[in-house]
Amino acid sequence: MGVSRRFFVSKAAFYISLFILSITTVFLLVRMMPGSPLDYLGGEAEDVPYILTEEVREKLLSYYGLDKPLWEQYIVFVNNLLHLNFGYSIYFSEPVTRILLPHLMRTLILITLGFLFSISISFPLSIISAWRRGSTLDTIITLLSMSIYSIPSFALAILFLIVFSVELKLFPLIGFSAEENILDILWYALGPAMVFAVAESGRAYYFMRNSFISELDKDYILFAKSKGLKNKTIILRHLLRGSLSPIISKLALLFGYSLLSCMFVENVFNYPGITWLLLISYEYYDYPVLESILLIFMFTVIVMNAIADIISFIIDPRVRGGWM
Amino acid sequence: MMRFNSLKTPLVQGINLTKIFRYGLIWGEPVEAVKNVNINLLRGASLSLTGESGSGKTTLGKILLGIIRPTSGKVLFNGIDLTNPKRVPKYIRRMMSYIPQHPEEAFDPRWRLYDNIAEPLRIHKLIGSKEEEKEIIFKLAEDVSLDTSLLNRRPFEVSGGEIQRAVIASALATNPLFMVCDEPTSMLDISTQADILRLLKNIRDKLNISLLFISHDIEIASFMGFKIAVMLKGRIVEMADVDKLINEPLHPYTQGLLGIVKVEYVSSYAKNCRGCPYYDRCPVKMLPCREKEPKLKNVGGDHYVACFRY
Amino acid sequence: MKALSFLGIKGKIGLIIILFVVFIGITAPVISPYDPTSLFEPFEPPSSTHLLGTDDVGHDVLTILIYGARVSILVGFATATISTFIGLLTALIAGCYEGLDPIISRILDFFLVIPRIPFIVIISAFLTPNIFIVILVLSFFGWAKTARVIKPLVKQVYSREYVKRLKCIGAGNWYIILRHILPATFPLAVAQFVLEGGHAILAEASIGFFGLEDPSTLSWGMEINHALQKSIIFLTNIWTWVLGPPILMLTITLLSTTFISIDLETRINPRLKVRSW
Repeated sequence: MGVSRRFFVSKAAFYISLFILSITTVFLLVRMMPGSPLDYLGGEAEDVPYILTEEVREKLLSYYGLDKPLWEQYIVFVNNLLHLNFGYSIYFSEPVTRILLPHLMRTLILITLGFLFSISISFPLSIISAWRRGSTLDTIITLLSMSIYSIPSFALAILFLIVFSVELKLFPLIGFSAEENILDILWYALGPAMVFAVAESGRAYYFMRNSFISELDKDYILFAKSKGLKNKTIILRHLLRGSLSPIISKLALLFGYSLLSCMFVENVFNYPGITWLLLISYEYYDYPVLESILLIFMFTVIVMNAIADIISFIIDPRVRGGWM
Repeated sequence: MMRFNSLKTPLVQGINLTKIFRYGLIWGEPVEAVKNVNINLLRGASLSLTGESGSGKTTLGKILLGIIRPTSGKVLFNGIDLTNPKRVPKYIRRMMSYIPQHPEEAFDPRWRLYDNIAEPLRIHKLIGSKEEEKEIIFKLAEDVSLDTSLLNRRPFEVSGGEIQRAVIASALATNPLFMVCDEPTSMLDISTQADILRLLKNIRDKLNISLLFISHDIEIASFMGFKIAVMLKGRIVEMADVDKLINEPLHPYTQGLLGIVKVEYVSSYAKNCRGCPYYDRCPVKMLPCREKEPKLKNVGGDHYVACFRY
Repeated sequence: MKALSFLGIKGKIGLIIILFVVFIGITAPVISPYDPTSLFEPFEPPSSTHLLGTDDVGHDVLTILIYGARVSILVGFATATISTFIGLLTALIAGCYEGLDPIISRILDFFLVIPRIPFIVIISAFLTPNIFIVILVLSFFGWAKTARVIKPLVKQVYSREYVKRLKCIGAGNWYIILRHILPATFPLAVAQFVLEGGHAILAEASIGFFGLEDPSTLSWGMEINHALQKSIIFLTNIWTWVLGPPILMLTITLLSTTFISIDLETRINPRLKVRSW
């Protein structure tokens, strides 16, 4: 199978070069930010000069490896990455992984939950709409979903807070107390997840509806209908089989991008997820943490793209023959 | 070297042309579209190319136009080398035209027929004023029997025959010396086919244009008169004056095309094998046919055949 | 105009709304009741002097709303123009010059992988973004999307028979690109323009929401950000006039662009079979 092998090799080379480029860009951008982590170590920037003397500063700089020239720092950085060592947080004084993982997990819980909600709403709706394309029902659902999609996610989050927390006093308004078990996390994630679901479902609904419509137009559906099969059978057996694969790869992409689009919802709810960590590490110039988060973002998108590529490769033989 | 008329020098010359396509940029399985073909075309003469699909007729036509670059060999137009399409000067392009296979795709669907026909004139800046241009376009439309009221319409608003006429008009706009017609009638109905064929023949005779006429239907190809060449798997297997070829076809493949001899498909035959390209279907094959490829031989009176039986 | 008949009901509604917002933005100094820098008593409820009350700092909310429209429209329009222009150019070059295609595609893919918001966060450490920087940065990320969408269409048109015929009779590459390929990409380019405009407006509001913009910029996002700092707004009903109007305006504006782009897409799609999602 010389074809497939060549295809994989070229795609792999592409993605690897993408990785390398991302790592370099992230590194450069972060380390060249004006300002220094030392300004924030002891507290706010104004207080620090009184606390840190010159020699303490130098000691700290060399401890974190920040006194070396940029290219040396880069080599250390890449070397560490290859050993999956994400460094030591300057602000939190703990290994980055120890900080990163809980926050990342909470964010993942949020987006997974939200994603599941979103699909459970948009999937059946999109099938119904596609099946009855052009009818009043379809028009109403589409208009509604597009309108909701237009509302920015932070606005939806604010609206949710207002309605449920202020008026109905159902959900806690201000963030978390110390939660340890998974049930607590789920409870706190419920609100944001629902908002996130509503925000994302518009997009998912739209493209799923489009896929289904173009699939329904195909001849074999007409054939199945003329055979007298019940609608439900047609849907389950024929329609889904044909259109599921591109939908799955699109959904995988969407899931990857969810990591980024949940930023607003997390911020409004003060949810202690990745967004909070990003903003904190940005404010306090915590290089290792900041870099790790950015890398995670970029890697997720790259990996999701790769997965989508792989899925469409397996499904559609036409993709194999070409280059790119 | 074959010559149509040894007293004149050919307008278009193809010397030992070979084109090998590699499908897929990565693993390239080579396909010989054209192999060792020599063509000479004099001014005002015409050559018809016929053969089944995939025999290389269109590719050969495009090579002779300087659109496709041959893998080996040379193309000369009035002495100018057309072998590298990117290096062909613009004034040469003015002297040639191309009528593609699907008339509805030959024109920009967003432009009116009028603008499509006038385009070659505008590209080469041959006309000064709008009135001059209008006169010329109208005259061209008349020449090809195209109703001038249709000039304002778009390609999808007229019938196939009318588009084909418009394409021919556009091809004639710059007074070309050389014209390649690629299956100009395959997409049309029978009565329109006859009209278009007569039109093309008239044009060739009146304007002294060298015509390369391609058709998979040997009867249509022979209608144009002059010389006809039969292609199979990229090679020319027989070439002669039209009457001679129709009345006394020598190559078994030509006979098959004319319906004279029954064709049998005998054995599986690898694509680029050594012997005669017709081996797998030839009803009268002999032993040497499998090993060596027969060369084109003049068997008398400018009638060339590539077959070991002669 | 012929173009207007192109849109259906949804598109027309969207167009009316967006034109309304543009109108507000352009005539801002004229129709706004107060100068945007003037300050009053904070958190005053809506009254006859302040139709929408005042915000946490003391600005008249209606004034901020009107000037915010100006900012959003400016950012949206400018970003869409730059992105579409550069993206179209790139798509044309990549589609018609076979040799350059692989390199350009790689570059495009790299740009598409960069996450917008985090990078804007980082960049705002280098310089506090005012409107022009925001436009620049958003265009920087936007052109790749446009190019990626238009490129397949360019390739498809370029491979058509009439292009080959024109090349045969002597048309130069750029002649073909400008006279034949570009007009063919026009509908798609317009759809992308509207889409990018909407995304840009949303992005600008998001930047304001995170508080990263130049404080002197009067954007709807910044207004929302300011409002959220003071949680008192939730304990009383102050949020109705401080948070409500900016959110409403933002939503309506985005709605209009969404409607227009869906409408355009449904018209383009059956013919060209190119998805712009």
